[in-house]
Amino acid sequence: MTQRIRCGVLVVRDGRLLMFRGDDPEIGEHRRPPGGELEGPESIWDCAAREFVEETGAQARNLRLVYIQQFTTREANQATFMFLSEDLDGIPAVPGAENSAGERIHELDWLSENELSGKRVIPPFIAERLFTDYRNGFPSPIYVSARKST
Amino acid sequence: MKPRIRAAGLLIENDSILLVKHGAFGDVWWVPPGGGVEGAETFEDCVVREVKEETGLEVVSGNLAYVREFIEPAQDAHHVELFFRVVGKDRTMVGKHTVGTNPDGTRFAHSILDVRWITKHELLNGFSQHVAPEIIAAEVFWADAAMGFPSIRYIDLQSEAVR
Repeated sequence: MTQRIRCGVLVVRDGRLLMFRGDDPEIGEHRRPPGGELEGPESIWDCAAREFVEETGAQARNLRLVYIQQFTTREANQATFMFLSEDLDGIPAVPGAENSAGERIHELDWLSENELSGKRVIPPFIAERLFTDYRNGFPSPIYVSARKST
Repeated sequence: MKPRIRAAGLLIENDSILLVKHGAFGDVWWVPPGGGVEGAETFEDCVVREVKEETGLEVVSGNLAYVREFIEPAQDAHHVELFFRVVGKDRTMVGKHTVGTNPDGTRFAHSILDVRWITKHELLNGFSQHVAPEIIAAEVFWADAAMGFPSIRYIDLQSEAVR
């Protein structure tokens, strides 16, 4: 069982969330925010900023930590850190047809709350609660537990 | 550098916090009981297990209070540590702890030297030994504790500053 630490960036502008549309033989068509795994001694903030530049060519500024999530698979126990940005420098675009993990990336979309709902989103809690939490202003980062609620 | 996830428990009663004393290479430091996540366990289960192993106390995990990062060059590890508020299964935990042992009954070889309740007063008035994370010896920690840690805070990788 490996441990992974993953950081992502949620960019919201004019009521829309920036998401990749990906396709993958295992999980099929899905949406996910820009992001990737922690490398070396960088902080989780630096990881989120770096991954965003690498994947979109734009810079996400004034990052705020908004979600801390545990996610487990058969192979990995993962901590995910999601950052919110409402301040972009540059225009996000997909630099290549594949990212470093070999997933094919088709395009970036700005999705409204309605467009997001019902789509396959990784991680799923983003589709379930992001816009509600965003309207509440994230007074604190939110912890999304892997514990079964009782 | 290997990413490593850790979880630790903040057990507070009567303006005191239960801390574990570690020591190695002539240095000692006091930290909340905690350790590395094992297998696919939830972070909360990790906290409950580690508190039991290190202090003998049965606790229930509450809300997440702090997120901290630190680098451990000797292990080539980048740790992300989550601190959860924990409460005792009994009404009070004071006076009930033991000094942690391994599952086979032996003391932790690497380091647990002592387990103690340390008062807010001691920590805010020049406690002579190293405490990690440093925020435990700061007013903001005790203000957070008095309110049940209502907001998750991030403790900076380099400076231990809070943001």
